[in-house]
Amino acid sequence: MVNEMLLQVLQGLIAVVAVILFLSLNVLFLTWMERKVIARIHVRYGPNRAGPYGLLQPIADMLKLLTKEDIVPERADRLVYNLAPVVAFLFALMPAAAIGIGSGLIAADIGVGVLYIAAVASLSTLAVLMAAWGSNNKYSLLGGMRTAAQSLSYEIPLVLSMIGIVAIVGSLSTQDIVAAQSQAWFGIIPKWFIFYQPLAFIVFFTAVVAEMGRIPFDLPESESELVAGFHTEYSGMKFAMFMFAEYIHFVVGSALVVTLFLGGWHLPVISPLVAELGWVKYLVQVAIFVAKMYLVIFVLMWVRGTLTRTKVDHVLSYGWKGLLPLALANVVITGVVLSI
Amino acid sequence: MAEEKAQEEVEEQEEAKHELLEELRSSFGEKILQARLLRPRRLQVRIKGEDLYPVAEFLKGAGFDHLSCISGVDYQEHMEAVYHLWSYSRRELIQINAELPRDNPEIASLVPLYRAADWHEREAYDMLGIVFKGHPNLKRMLLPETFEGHPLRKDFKTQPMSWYLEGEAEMWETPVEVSPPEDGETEVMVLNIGPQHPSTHGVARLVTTLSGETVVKIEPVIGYLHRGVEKIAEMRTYQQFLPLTDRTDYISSITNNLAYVLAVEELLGVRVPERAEYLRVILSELQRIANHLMFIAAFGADLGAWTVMMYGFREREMVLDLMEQVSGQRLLYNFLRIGGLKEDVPPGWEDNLRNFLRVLPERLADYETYFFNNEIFIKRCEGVGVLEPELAIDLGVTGPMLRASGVARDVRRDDPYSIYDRFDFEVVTEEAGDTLARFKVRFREIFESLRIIEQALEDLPEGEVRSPDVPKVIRPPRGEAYSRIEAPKGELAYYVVSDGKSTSPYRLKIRSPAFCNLSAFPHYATGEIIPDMIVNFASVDIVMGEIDR
Repeated sequence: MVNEMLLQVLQGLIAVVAVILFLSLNVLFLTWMERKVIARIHVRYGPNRAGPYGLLQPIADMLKLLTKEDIVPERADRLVYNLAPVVAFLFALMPAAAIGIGSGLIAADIGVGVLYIAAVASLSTLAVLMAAWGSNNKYSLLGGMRTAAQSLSYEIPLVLSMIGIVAIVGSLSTQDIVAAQSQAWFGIIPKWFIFYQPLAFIVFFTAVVAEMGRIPFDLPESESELVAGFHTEYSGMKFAMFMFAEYIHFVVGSALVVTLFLGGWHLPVISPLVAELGWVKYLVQVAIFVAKMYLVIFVLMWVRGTLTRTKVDHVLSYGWKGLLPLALANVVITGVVLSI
Repeated sequence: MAEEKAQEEVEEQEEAKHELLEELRSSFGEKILQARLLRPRRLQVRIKGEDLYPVAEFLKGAGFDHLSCISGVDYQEHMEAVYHLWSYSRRELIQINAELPRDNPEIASLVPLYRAADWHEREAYDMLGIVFKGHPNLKRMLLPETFEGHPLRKDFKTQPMSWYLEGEAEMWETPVEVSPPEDGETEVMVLNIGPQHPSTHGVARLVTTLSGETVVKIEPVIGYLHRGVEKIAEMRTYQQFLPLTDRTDYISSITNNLAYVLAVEELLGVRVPERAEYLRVILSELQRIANHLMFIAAFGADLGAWTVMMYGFREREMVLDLMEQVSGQRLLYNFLRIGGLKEDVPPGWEDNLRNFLRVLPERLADYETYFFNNEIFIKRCEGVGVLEPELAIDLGVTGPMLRASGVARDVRRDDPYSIYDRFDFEVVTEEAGDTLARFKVRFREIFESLRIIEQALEDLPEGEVRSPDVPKVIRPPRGEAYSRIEAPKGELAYYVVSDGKSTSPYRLKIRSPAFCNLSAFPHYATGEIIPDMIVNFASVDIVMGEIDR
């Protein structure tokens, strides 16, 4: 009895460590990749001094940020100000628990997976508002207010666009959703939800970019207007935690796109081949999942290198007048088709 | 041939001029101390300070709609406020010298007639202590509020800067007063943008009053980069001052050189060799291209399009390379000389230039795709910050900003200097007057500049590049010169006064285009939201080195 409990706790701990490790490694790599990809789009070289191809740059950045002086503004609300980066970091980690990177390779396969993700993902707004208010800086406040408005506007189409998939699968679990995409027509054309729900994909993808706060939706921290938005006053490690949280959002968001619309760890031809191979199967699954995830990430970086920032009022009107009706239409269409 | 033509022009103009000068004399009689024609398209009247307003009113009625510049000169026995008015319809410049008593330099403000006078008068008050009666907001412009004395007066004694800044810290401690909101109104918030801010292009400061995100009021505060260039000019010889002109508008330094040497050449009466004139045109137009590429790059950065920023700098690099081959410098060329150029261009440079003329249009095609097919970009700029043409002229706006409001004014065309009358080019205009129009005008001007360079390169004569008539020691005869040129940012002018005795300018005043264009910014940017204000601000194309001098 006691042993069983201990085993469960141990299992849980291993899962937590695994999730954090997976995310951290990806985030470290991402900071390098983002700088490198954007640099190539900009006709620059990007980091190329620390280690081969500048691969050790993230480590150097970390060390630099760790050794920086920790500055708290004189008139800041100290408690809220200090707590905000921690809260941001924690809330960014939470949705990752319900996303699997292989069949059974999931921290917590809870029945309400998708719902849970949607619920905790919106919590990060709280951290931004805390930072904005706690800094006692006007730029931060404006940035925080924009974040709140933006998250609110894009949360709804985000959730609505997932309803179609949930209705088709009949389950909220991410494992079930991926399993439902394992088949293929003629063995080569995958039955992914991007083909069943193209409208939902467009809405979801746009909303995810907005939730991440990346160009063209990077209004919360648009540097040309609000200096750095909500994290204007943060420096050193606290700033690093915000950046870390931001990149975790990036990873989680892309993983979610892969899980919901791009067939998760399934790939036609290859997946059936390795289905009986024991542990190799898991390795291949993770590889496929990560590859797809990086494809999405690359597209997002590409978007950042191509587009300009939108205006705050355009963002909101686009969310409410563009995405919301589309998402609703998708729900109706899916419902009608399913009932026939 | 050209001389003959000029001679004819003089005679023609003289008659037309007489008309206006006669009218002035008959209307004001004794009050006009002196009225004369200096050279074609240049008139001068001398009056007493108290008669300024009626004379200016008369001249405005006679078609002088553009207040180009207001300068003050301290002649030790008396002071003078010098007004330069340009008439777009008559294509003439009139210089009004208004004499003031030195112990009580008071003169009527021209703000009711020309709104452009606002900042000019504040600057003259700041620098020379001339009091403009009726000015709505007469306070210091470039120097800190705690400053004592007026540095461009001849008896000014220099003190260490710390002495002037005493009490500045306390000034910052006093919070800005904001009136409490009335019922049903939102509370306004004062947001201080700059001097340290990513989109202030240097050290501009905008004290912005916000209601939510809507901008209710903008008050630009400048002077953070004030280096007293005009004061330094009085302590340097004419040649020594040349490198300092580079440092005013430091991203288009050739045109600064040009405006300055034109003024001094006018004082000296020196003619520049043909080859030098052509090369000056080529270099000025290259500089315009570099400036506009820089504008596109910075504008992109303000919109979050960092790719464009890098692209703009990549293309500008080609211009910098060409300039480096010519002058050995990449930013501050200091290449023009009084009476010509420093030296001839190196052999093979013309081929490099031809290569550039071929490559640039290909590269610019990418920009066209990027900007004009980009819905986000169009939506952000279209209809934002509309500047009406009448208001633009009234505010003394010049250059691409004025042309974007549909007013086809270009000093190169209206008041040709150097040899610009020999080239065929279009004065680019856009009707809309919004930020997008200001962007488009600059973008299209790059192509016009390429056309001018092509023509100049074709006709480029052989010969000297430096006039042998320029003496080693430059001591121009007593007189004044006002040289206007079309700098990339607008009308740039140098007003140089020589006392005939000294080897340094007695007074030098720079009419900076960005200074006047920036003064128009609050007029068209209020009522919009912060993101619009940022693109509006970027579309002015400012360089603080030139505004603060």
